[in-house]
Amino acid sequence: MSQHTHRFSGKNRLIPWVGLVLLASLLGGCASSKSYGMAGGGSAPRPTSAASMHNERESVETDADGKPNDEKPKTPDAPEANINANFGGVFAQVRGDKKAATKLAVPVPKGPKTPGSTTSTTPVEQKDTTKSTAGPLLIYQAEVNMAVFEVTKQINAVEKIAREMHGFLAKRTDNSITFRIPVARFDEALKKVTSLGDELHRDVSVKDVSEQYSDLEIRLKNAMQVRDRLAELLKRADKVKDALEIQRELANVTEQIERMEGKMRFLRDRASFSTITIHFEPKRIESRPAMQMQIPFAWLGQLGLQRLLNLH
Amino acid sequence: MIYRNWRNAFVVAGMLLVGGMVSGCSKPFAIQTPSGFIELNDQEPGYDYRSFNDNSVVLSVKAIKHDPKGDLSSWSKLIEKKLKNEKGYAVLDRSDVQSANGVPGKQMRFGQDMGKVPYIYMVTVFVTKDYIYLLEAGGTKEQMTADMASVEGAVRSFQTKLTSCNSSPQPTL
Repeated sequence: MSQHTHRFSGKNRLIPWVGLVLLASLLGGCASSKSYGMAGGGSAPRPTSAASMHNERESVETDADGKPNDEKPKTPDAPEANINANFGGVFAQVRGDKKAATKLAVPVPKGPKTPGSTTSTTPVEQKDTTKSTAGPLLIYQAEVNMAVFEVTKQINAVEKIAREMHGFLAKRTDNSITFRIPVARFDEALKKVTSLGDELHRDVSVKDVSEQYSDLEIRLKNAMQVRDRLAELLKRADKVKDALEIQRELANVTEQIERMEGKMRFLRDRASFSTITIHFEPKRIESRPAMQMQIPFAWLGQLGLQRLLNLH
Repeated sequence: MIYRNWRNAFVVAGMLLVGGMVSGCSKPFAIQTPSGFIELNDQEPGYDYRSFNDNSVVLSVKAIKHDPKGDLSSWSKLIEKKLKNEKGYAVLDRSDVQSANGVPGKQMRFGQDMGKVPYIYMVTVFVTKDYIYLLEAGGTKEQMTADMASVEGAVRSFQTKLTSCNSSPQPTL
């Protein structure tokens, strides 16, 4: 016991505290994910099925999960639960934050709608939800293949529509254009641009990132509290070595905070501005459904300008 | 002398008959080459008729044995689907037409860029018991628009299989 006391009252007195604070931040993140799971029921809202889409060629690719592996909420496991039970002090305060975090994890309303659906949430309804977690945070994306006719003229027209609808150009090549459009005008923009020519294929995907966003929000809050505590500890540090150690940890936490803030900004941006890409080419054969029927008439394959105009 | 003249006359008549069968009557259709177009003699395999003009507008006919059987609607839909979905042609227009001998047909107009130049490609389909007739015409949008009347005239002159070289054509639906 005396050894123990001696160790903590010595020059490394602050190091265990720094360790505890970091451990608490880690566990806080895990606990917050768990609390979100309780609030959201772990079931992210899913867009309606392809059958409900207004266009028969339109398919819906839904990633209701919407989380990269590193962002998936951790499920509590036994060792973490034990640590959680055994530590007090600073960690107890972090547990208090977990409760606050639970309040932040607002239950996600069921049945968000995909664009074009007649019974579901449209992007218009989503527009005010991008700045908070109160509601589903959905990222709408559309990829459309159009017939290859008067392409330059059509690309110019698409760009004009995007600008008129307060969108902006993201990318333009000889046979494709990508633009971002306020989510509230996603449906309208899609309708306008596809009416310019002959639509061949359409993919609309809705990605629900509510859980990912909420998780980031909670982790950010915890990380900020850890940063504040580290700053306090830094003020109290009387040894240069301790101060350096704390400063290093402070820099790490600050970097994590910046990364999380950046990711949240990115998600908010993706949700508030939908992405529409128009390709002026038929969908590539390799990306078509494998079960597409092959028509067994050679003469059909020989139709077309290439062969007709070749008079040699 | 009289006998010899008669014999020569029979030989000439026979040669003309055979010649007619080999040339005009060998094709299961008839089409009037539009004014300003030149008919090609040596056709690429698969084409039964091709002509072109100095604006590089090309007109062609293919007569395909109608086997397996289908109807005008199914064949024209198949053609449209193939050209649109697989080859990226834009469907500009569809209309009902009729051959000179009264066979109903479907005409589809497509658009496609070659390089950055827009082209028009027109396919007219006639379906009879024995043949599927494909009349194709194509050229730049500008030239096709200028020569459309000639092309449409040729399509209107089209006759499906003739019952006899000398008799008037009958529809063979």
